[in-house]
Amino acid sequence: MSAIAQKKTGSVVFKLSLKDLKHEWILTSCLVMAIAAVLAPLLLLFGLKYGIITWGREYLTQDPLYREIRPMTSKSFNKEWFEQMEQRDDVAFVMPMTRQIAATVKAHVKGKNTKKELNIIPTRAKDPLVLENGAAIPNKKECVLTRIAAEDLQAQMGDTIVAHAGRIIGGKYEYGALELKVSGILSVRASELKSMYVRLPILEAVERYKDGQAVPEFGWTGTTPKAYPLYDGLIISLPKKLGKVGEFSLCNRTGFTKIESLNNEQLLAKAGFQVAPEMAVYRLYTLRKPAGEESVTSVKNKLRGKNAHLFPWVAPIKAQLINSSGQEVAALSLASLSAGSAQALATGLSPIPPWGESRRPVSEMLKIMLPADLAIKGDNFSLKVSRENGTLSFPVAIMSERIPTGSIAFIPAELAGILKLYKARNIKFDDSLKEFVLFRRGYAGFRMYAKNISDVDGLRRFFAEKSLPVHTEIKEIKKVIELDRGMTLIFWLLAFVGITGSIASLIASLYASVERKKREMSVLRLIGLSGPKLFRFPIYQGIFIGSGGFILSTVLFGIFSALINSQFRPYVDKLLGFPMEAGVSFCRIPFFHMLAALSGTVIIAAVAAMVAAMRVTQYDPAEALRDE
Amino acid sequence: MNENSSKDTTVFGLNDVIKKREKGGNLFELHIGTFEIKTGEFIAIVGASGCGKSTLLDMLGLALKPTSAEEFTIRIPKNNTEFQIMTSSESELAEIRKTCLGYVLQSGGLLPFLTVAENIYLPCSLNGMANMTEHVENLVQRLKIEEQMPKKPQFLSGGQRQRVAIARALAHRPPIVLADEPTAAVDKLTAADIIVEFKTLTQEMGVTLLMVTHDVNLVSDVADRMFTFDVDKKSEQYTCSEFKETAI
Repeated sequence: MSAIAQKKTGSVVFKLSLKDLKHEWILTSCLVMAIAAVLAPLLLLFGLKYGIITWGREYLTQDPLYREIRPMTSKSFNKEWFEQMEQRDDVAFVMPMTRQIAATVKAHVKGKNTKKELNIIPTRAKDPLVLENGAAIPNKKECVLTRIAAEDLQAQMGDTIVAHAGRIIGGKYEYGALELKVSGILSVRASELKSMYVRLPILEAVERYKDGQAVPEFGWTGTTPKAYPLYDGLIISLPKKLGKVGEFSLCNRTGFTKIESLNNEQLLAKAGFQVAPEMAVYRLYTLRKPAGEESVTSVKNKLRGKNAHLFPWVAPIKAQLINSSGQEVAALSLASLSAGSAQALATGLSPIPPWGESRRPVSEMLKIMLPADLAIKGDNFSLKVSRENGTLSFPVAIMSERIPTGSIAFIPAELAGILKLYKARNIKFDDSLKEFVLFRRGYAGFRMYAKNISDVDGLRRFFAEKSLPVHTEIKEIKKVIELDRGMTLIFWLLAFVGITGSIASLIASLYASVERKKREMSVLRLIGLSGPKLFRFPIYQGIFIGSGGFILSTVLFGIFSALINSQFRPYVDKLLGFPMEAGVSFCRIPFFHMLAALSGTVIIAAVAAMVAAMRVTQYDPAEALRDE
Repeated sequence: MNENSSKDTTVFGLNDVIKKREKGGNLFELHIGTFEIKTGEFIAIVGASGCGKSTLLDMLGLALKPTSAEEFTIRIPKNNTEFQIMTSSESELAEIRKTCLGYVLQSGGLLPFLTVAENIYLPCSLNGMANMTEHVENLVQRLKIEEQMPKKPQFLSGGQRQRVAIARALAHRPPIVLADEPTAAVDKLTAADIIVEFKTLTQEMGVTLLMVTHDVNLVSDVADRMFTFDVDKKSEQYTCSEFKETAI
């Protein structure tokens, strides 16, 4: 037989099977309904499972609240820590935060009287809490309010907020005021707290003010945490050598731990200066912790009456001399030396520093004495000192006096001591105060958002391992995951029972149907339909009935899911413990899953039909010839 | 197609064909000596029930293979070759049934889910034959069943049903038609009518007709040759039946 004829026979079997179903349309409808009776509830169940879980996931994913990781204890987190955290793949956003207690202000809308207490929280570019709740990141003169804060203050977008940072100093209440424009109001879900989101420097200023410090940029008065000098050692020059006991006593509870006697060459090599050759010279030094001003005083006290002269000493410091146009003029090695003219005379000091004795204020210490052969042009010089993770620059005046020999430049001992401190602490030169000011070592807390809700638990465990307990919404996340698991299990159990039932029913129905049509099947075989071809007859029917059942189920699903979506929302809200957003359907099946369900049904129907089909092939064509 | 083949061509060739059957401990043996059927012949096979009529029909209808056979061939007109039944597969037999045989069964054997027209055209579509309308319409007209065409078989009388069955058996122009008691469910007068019409059609088409019946009178006037069975009950458990020709 030709291929075309083969094809035709195939389509003949297909047409015959459909005509048979049409002929027995009542039985066919019963079968279709039987399938739909099993399938429709399964679709509804799956729709509910999918809808609720998907919605729950989306809800959690959409709301940055669930990605938030909040430290539960205060610790110091430095710049490096934040840099490290920023580089993690599971972290979407991290920024420093101050101590919570220092971060409240009293605020009111300019022109209104209602004063309310607000938390101030730092924000910066990419902050998901601000960006995903309908506001833009504020600039340095703006703030973003939470909805409840805005309501409380009766503030609108564009209003000016006056924020007062208050403190009590010496029993007196004082405050620093600051004006910020409301650039955004967050949606309700963002926070239940009355908060104001501002740039970090504003929060730092408030914190500093509350700590009693001045904030010149906002015109707030107070103290300044001035930088203090630290020394590597102390050069002592005396007319007479000390005894062993005397030497030892200088290392006893003075802050210095070692003492050595130096001749003039050694002194020159160590400190860059010399004293008269008849003088006895010692170097006191420390091995680990640098010594402070108090150590110098302590040594001074012990040497009282011995006619000793002290030169605080800092090991040579590398620095760059920069001119007003920012160009490096010279790379210098700085030595420390301060001495009054009387002291210089008494010790035969060389060179003699033109700035005299070391003393405050700092403006009088910003001086440098350069070697004679260093040619310098320009004015408004500054010195730049570098360390691993930063530089410190400050203006410096070049003394007209020059050092006749050598390549070392001298700076006042106290300035050198401050540069020594810079190795350990953060210092900046405050232009308005003309002071070296200490600033924060680190931050007490942080704000962090994970990239995904699935990253939250990993980060929580990461911090737990570092003994840093954090607060996360992992419970809410787990609730959805648990719900998903539970519903999946129930779904599959029911699906198993349902599918088994429908397979059994389909097999039974199709089998009974071909058994009833035994004679017709035999006639078909007799007039030339071979077994393998007739095998398709019940299979086509099974597929048709399965598809019909599926279509009917889809219609039922459409009706009932619409009903569920419109009628049962309040109950589901209650069940979940949080409200669903409008327009979210929690009983739905995506198109792709629907297709999968259809193909699943068709495949199962075809497999069930195969049992009946096996029976058909067993029929003897001879049966048709005999009339029972 | 049959117009081309000569009258003397053997359609079925059987020699020493034996079929043994066991049913409830009783052995039945049918023996066919030499049995040749020529093209266009009307062969009547007559016998009481239990003589092996149905068994013979099953074998000639290619639905049942003999236990043994010296020779059992069928001529395929398409390439004019003799086909060995004993050595062929089920699918080959199905193919021959489809192309070379037409069946008229006792109560018609019509498919209840198809209309009369669909039933009649079914062998044509199974054979992938197009342009059979003229031929089929002619058959339908001759058998006086034009008005029944759109009906389902269940709404037809017994006689109408048999006429439809005849039309279906002839629709795809098979060289051989097997009829098994085609008039069993019909009154005598109608039966005679049907048989005459049947014979006329087969003769015109040059179709070989094998008709099994228990009613000698029905076929004695129309059949070319008549065969019957010689039943020999050898014991309680063993029955032997010998197929033989008998005079009309």
